[in-house]
Amino acid sequence: MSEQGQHTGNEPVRNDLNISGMSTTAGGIYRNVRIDGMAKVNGSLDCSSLRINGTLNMKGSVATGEMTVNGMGTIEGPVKASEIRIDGMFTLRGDVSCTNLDVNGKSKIEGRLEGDQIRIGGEVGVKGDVQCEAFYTEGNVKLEGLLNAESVEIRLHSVSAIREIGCERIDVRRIERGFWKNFSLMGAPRLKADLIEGDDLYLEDTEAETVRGTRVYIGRGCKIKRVEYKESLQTDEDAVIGTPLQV
Amino acid sequence: MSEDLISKKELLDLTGISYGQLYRWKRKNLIPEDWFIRKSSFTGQETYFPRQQILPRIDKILNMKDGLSLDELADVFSPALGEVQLERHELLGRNIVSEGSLVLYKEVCGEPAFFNLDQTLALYVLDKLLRSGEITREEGRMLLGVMSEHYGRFAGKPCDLVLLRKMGVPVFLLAAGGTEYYADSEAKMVIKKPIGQFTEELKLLIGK
Repeated sequence: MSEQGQHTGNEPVRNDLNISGMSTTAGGIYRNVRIDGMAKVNGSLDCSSLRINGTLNMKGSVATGEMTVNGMGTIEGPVKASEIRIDGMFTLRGDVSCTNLDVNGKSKIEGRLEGDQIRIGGEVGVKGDVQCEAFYTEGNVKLEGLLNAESVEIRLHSVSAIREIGCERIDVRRIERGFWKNFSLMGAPRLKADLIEGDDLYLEDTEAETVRGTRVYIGRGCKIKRVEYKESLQTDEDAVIGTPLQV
Repeated sequence: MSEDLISKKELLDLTGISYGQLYRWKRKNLIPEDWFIRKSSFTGQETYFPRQQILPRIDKILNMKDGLSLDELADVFSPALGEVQLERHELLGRNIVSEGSLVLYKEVCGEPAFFNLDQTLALYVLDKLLRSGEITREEGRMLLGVMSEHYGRFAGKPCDLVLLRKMGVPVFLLAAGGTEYYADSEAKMVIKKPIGQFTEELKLLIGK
């Protein structure tokens, strides 16, 4: 982002845009954009910050520094931001690229997701591939592509599904819950995956077709059809493993 | 054309790299997305790579990674050419191309004051193929024509350079990477090289 709101060189003057009430706008270049009511944006937005407390329906793309969503809405185009925080309910139909993504609400991404640090506390579905350095979730994720990350940390509350994971380290653990919470409606906590590959794997409550790794620990509650390991394999008694194979 | 594929497992065994490294390089675009070829096998889905491309690439990454950061490496491998202007004497002095190729270039395209990267690339490809004896000077002219007229259309996307000869008549093709093409049985495919290979070498030469 450029100098905020200052006229530098051929950079246009950036004004603030506040929408409260209902309105339709064409988009454009702004400094701070704040939407408290219901807004429809027909074009694209280029702004230093975007804060959505109401409802936003956007046709174009977003390029911004900081994006915060407390309300709900849809963005049809690609989103580029350094910080994204979603506490409301949001659908992003394009590719998303950011440095930090924090989701505590519910969101759906229909393109690819690229970032540095991704933290998910709420519920997130991603259709495309996910790429980041650190992926942490305590929520409910459904990733239909490949999750490629340096480190993956998953704390299981409910059922999450990730088609394929490729990483250096992965750590999947169940969160200890109180007695009564064991009867929750969401079913037993679980991670379902087709394929998990990495160097250091620590898995609990994971259901997978194939797990391949260098140093592998298969903990309680795991159900894995095929395990391939290079250096070491440790298993819990309470894990079901089809065919372990040292390669 | 059936390509020679190598499975991921075989690749890791052969090169001694880890899953973490492979995935990290994919994230950094050191290994292009379209080299990951998914096929079903008896254990479910398996990933394969084109052997001729992935092995030299991994070798290069392993040999160069001490000197350059991963992001710098990614620039080297990206098929897009950056902005560079080189003068005639620089090209010669740094042994990027030889005098003979420059003369031929001048005959076909005239002599620009500066060579931009596209022009330098055309020159470099010409020089390399002339030196290896794979093409004749006459074919070199055709090559320059094809490169200067059509290479820009690929706009940084990977493409292959193909030379066919039938009964001594040469035909040059530039084809988007990964496409298949078939010719009649009398046509001989003399050259099929990804242009990316030349851009990588050229970028390293320029970077020195």
